[in-house]
Amino acid sequence: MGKLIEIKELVTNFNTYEGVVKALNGVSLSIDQGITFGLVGESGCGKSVTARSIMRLIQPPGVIVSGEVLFFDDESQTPVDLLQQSEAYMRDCCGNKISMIFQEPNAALNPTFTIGEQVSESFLFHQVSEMSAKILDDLSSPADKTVILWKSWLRFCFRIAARNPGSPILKLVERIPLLKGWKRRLKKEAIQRSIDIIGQLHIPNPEQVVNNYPHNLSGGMKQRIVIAIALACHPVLLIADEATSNLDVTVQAQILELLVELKKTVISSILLITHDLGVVAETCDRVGVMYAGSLCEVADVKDIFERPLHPYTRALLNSVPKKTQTDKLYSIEGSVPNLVTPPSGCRFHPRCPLRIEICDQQEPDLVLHRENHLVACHAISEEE
Amino acid sequence: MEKILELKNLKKHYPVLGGVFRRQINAVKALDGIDLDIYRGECLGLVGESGCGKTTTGKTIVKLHEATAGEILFHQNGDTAVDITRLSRSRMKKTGLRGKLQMVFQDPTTSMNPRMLVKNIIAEPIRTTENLSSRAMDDRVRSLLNLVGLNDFHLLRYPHEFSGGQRQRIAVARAIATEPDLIVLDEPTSALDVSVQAQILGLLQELQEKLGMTYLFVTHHLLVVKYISHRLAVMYLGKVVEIAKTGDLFDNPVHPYTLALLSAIPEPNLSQKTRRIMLEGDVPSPLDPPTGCRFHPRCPFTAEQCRVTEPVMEEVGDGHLVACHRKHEIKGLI
Repeated sequence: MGKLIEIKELVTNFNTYEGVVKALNGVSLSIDQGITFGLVGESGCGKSVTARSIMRLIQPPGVIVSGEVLFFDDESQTPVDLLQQSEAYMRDCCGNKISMIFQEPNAALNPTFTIGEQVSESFLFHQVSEMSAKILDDLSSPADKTVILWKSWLRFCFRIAARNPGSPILKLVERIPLLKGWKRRLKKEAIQRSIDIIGQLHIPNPEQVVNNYPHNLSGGMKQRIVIAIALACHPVLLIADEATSNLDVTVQAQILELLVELKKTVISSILLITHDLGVVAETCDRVGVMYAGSLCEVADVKDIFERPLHPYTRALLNSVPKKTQTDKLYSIEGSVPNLVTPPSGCRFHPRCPLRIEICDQQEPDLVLHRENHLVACHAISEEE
Repeated sequence: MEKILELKNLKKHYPVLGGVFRRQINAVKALDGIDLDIYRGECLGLVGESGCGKTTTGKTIVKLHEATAGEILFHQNGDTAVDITRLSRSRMKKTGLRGKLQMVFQDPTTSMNPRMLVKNIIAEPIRTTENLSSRAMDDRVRSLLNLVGLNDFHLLRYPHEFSGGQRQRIAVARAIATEPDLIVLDEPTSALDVSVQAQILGLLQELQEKLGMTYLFVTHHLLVVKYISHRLAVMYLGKVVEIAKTGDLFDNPVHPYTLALLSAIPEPNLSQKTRRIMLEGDVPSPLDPPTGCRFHPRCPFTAEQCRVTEPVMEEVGDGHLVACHRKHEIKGLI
């Protein structure tokens, strides 16, 4: 399988009054096609910033300082550096090829629009020409009962829209009363597509749900709607940023099952950001562990859980209570460092049990230790 | 074992007002008759999904909410039981019961006054019950801070200067300041990271051993509660559906809801994959709970009886109580 996205030496800073917060400190990782990549770590370690940097959604005072995000589009195998592209390109790409499920469904949905309007927005943004072609087909079928004069006007508009959705003629028509009515047909089609996608996510009676407002739905349902918005245009890469963190375990199990099922059929790769190691064990193929803005271990999920190498990964695994837990829970001493003044050298060294001399002077690089197993630790490298 | 708290048919309904005269038209039945015994020195875990009434139970026990009906019997050392629901707030304060029941809230950021120094935050509950000189008070606060693993130089700081874990330590210090018998811990670790969560859980266990307190640990995280509590009570939609010893509940769950809840936990372990009982849909609205057994619309093993009559709590083993009609046949159904 080829690569889908490759991040190289990504550095993102936040310029705050207290100083520059070095949120990402040279993160490099690559996600292959067809896998689920899990990114785990404690809060404030830069998981969400990584995801947002990929989509260039970092807002001021955040700045992407340097690095590359290479996106291997399936049509051309020459990669595109997303950080160098124009805003227009990103607008076209985000929500279409790469899309994101945001953390808090309550905050991600607009309370003043119906579910249908919010889901169909991405269709109206990215799929106008495809929808127009479909409506043209419908119009020419004999079952259509539109008045003849209006029908020819619709045909005229949709023919243009199918060729070029941003055509100046359509923009002009949009300002003329009555004539702009052609868009109603487009919206109807978009709502129809929304109903289809909502139905695919096992939501009962989608026809009714599209007319509801977010407050009419429960937390799990809202999360499904957010997933529906993200999946609307069949993205190649789906970024799930703590998609299940605020949900109950039974609903979380439903959503995770859904993601696994969707990966088989619709989307190719998922970048799953979570702090819950249980979720990672259940859904991911490959895992990256982050600590204080840098990746400390990247490996296949089996290796992470059965043969973890980095001391932080080991500590993290030991501090999670397990079903079979009988002895005392291990806890990491100290707390996550302040990223305005991160520790010198390896950022984990003040809390590390395996600390050696070099750790506070030199930053370790991600080195290949076993097959497909990258670790950034001096002590582990020394041992070998 | 000696009981410290008995909940008898406790109900808490939140009124829904409507119409022109703002009359009560309906009620959110957050607690609809629960019976629960808490024994001295134990940690009872209360688990369930959001909206099932876990927090309401905790808040009603410390009398932050008035119960609609039912009794909360509190057994103080050697005394006869007192029904907390009957006491007025001032009476509770006078008899010293207020200090005996304390609570740690979910989010340490919002449960502390940002304008108060840590010193005053911890001293406030002591001031309401005892009259100490300022020096004695200072010593007391210092010793409390040391007990929860903070230092003397933290005394003159504001809550925002601390990390989440440290703030939760302050909240614990505030709760134990009046030497309570029972502490209600309302999701004390859900706002914290795993490594910090482990620290706080360790601290809570240590304090329980040292001070001999009783905990009511309210949480939705089953693995956390398994680690810390001796007995578990599972709640669903305002009812307790199963009570058992922690090990017993995990090895040998009987109620289908408990089964589903346990099988839904994502386990950070690759070798053990359990068969999953998927629940369809969401928790029904407590405004209009289903007839019969409240779990029957989502239950994979519904029988005719479940739709009609409501099951009562019955014993199936040593201290293992279940409210399910099909409790004896459930083993064969899975």
